[in-house]
Amino acid sequence: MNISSFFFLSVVVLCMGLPARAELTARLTKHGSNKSTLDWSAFRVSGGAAERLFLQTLQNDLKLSGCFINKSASPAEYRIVGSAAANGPRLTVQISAVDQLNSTIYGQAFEHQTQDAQVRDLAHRIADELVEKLAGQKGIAQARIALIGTASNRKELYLAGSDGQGIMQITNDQSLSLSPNWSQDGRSLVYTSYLMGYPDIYRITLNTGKRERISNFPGLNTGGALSPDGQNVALVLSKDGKPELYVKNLPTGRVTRLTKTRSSPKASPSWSPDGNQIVFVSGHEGGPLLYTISRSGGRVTPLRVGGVENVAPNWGPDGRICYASRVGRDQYGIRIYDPAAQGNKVTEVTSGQAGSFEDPSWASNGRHIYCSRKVNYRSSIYLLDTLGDPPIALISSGKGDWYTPKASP
Amino acid sequence: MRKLRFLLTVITVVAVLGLTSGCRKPKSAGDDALNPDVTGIDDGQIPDATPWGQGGEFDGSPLGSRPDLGTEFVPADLNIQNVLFGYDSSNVEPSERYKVEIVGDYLVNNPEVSLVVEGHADERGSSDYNLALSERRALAIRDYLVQLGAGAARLTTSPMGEEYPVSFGHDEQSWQVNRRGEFKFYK
Repeated sequence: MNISSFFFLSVVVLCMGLPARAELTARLTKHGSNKSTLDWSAFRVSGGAAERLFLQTLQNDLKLSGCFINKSASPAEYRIVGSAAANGPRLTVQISAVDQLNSTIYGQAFEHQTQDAQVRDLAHRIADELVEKLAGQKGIAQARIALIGTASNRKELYLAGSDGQGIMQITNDQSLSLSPNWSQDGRSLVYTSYLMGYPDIYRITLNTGKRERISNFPGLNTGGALSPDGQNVALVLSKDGKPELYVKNLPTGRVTRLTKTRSSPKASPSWSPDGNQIVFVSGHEGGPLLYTISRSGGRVTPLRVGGVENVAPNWGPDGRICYASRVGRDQYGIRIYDPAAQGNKVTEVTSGQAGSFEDPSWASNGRHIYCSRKVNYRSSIYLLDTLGDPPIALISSGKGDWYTPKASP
Repeated sequence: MRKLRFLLTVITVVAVLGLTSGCRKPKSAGDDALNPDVTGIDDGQIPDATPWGQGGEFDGSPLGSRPDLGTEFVPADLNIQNVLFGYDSSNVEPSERYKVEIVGDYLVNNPEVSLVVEGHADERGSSDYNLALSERRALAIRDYLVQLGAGAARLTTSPMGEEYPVSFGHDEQSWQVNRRGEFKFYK
């Protein structure tokens, strides 16, 4: 393996003493990202279930961050020092990261509950703090993933941790739930449900469990996506006789039609980070391809990104758009369109990987992508690293299939 | 009977052509922005790509309110068949039209009956796009029924996307029968 070369590169970067340089170097790396090594041999864990869950979750988070390699021996760029010990209902954690010059870069102490969910939350929090302090990047461990699963034989809405653990079923409609999307504040989800027999759009406020129906016109109501300011929802409706793109202003209830192209399906609206544009799928030039339109309508601008079929676009926090592009008879790969790139604006993230990668969505760090991967027609959830690391399985298709993962902002 | 159906088909085709050429709305800004000579098809990696559908050319009539449907039933002695579609197409092909016409005749003669047209797609592609595509298919059938005089108010659509296949294989044979419109009768 390339651990030694990673180590060498990382040490070089470290000696420069500039975390920002580490990021720059990583972005230029073609095959896999630069990683710092962490030596865990001086971190003491007593043998209880809570301590083990804590350590396992934290180390896995650090691996998923793409910034670190966990080791249990020196030499390493950072030594992780401290202990995790449960005493009755309390988990006590002391944890520090010490660099090769013996400087403590990070140090914290926590008293926490020992239920699985609380232990995971603590591990996710520490992971994000370590990623920020040691690698200078935004952590994604504390995010939650909204997704659709079939474990109950119907498609229902679920929530999982960023690592795919702690899966919770949110709806039990026993009809069909599809297309979840987060509000920018991470407090609510909009999704499509056949609860009343037809596809309508609902909004669930997570901490109260309150559910309201926000669109139930005759025909199709789907693709609900909240604008960054939370005031508007982009959606696909067929009430006027064809599936078209609309925006509904939530405070006033006013519905504005944006597209009026030749008869063709429209799907999957996603807002630009500034809330001024919407990228969506339309079939009006043949196969489903990507287009943008202003939030107030007007010109439909094609995204000329190549490919025979481009679907499920997701506009990321740094302005890049990820989407699924058809690469075979029934296979799709994940591609990224970077409008600001010099030269080649389109890159494929999943080239050379087996299976069909679909439904991509950005993590809030603008580096990772959550997606589904179909192998032998079973669908599971994967984490992609746009810096070139191989896909990592998060939720396997053992008890059911999993689709459309969306990480909270 | 056969002659009548042929005549009806001819009348319908003429009516539909007339509708799309004569009554098309003025071009919108969105249409003007399109660049029809660039298709976006350029990487040629598809081993057995199907030709693209041209998209239905029906103008579409607005959906009324969701009707109170009553009880579902299956009309006796009516040869009800699913209307099949090409890959990514919502065109009611000439070879499929007779299936819609059978239902259209029945509705004309049974004004108390309401109809739900269910649209379906095959499993390939994104579930979101397939949902919109399945609605487009249902609407294309509904529009044809309206042309046949069935009365728009009692015709509603129900898009089902890729979620309810009738054939569970993962090959063209299954996909072909899953790309369909189904008729559900209520009174």
